[in-house]
Amino acid sequence: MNRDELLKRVRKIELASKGLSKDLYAGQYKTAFKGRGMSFSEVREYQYGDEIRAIDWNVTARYDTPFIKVFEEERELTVMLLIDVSASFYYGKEHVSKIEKAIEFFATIAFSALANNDKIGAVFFTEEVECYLPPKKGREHVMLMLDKLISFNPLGKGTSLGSPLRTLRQTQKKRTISFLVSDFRDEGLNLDEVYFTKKIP
Amino acid sequence: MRSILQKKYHDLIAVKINDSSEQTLSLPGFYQVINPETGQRQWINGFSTYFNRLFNKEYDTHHKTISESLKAKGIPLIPLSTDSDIIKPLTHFFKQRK
Repeated sequence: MNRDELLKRVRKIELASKGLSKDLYAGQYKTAFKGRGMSFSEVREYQYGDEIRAIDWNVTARYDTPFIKVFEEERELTVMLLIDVSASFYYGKEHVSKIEKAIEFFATIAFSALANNDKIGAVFFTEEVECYLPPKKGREHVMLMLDKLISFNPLGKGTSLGSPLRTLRQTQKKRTISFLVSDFRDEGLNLDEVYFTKKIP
Repeated sequence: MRSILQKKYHDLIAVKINDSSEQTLSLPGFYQVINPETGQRQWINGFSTYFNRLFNKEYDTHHKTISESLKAKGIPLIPLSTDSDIIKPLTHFFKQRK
């Protein structure tokens, strides 16, 4: 597929995510990632009227005064797409290469996140991070990222899954939903970096 | 404390994209294969049953290693293929997460 065909495909995905497939894309995406409720913010001293079930018993035992956990509602999410752009990812037997499938996946998730008013960012990587696009909202930003991915010329050839995960940890201080898209053809595969980006229990 | 909390911030999902030709050789024949990442070239005998079995096994072992490593880290995996639609596996994954 050439650049124009890919852009046409992206446009189709955008229309699909708006129209009939709303249930498939945004609907299910929303239920899968939203509704985790509250995220822990801090602990403070118990005041009359506070919910007893919010008491943090560990802190209470340590200080001998009741403390409660304060939660804040997670209003918006940040979605990060970590895309492998190594040489092996440009391979495909038939008409579609792995990178083209990754673009399709990128567009699907990005438009679903857009419908949900979430921030979307991306990291393109080979053996090191080749491009970091900070998370932002808006269709223009999604289109810019897609355009960049479609016409991207990576400098490196190999794959190192540790580098995008390190970048994710260093740049994103708030919780994110991150997709690591790769063929996992990493010779020295080391998922230890993943320890820091573990799934929320 | 912050570093401990930070560990819980990212919800990571692995998406593995593969091509069917990496799994099985579609046609019998002699192939020259090139590793695009290292530039290494090698001739392979696609007529050999032994080699075909070895080829399948290499893919299965790789897939199994990745799946198990990710599972051990508590990271879900969405397998995608270049010759199939992405909607079905995505829908399946989203439904599972509900």
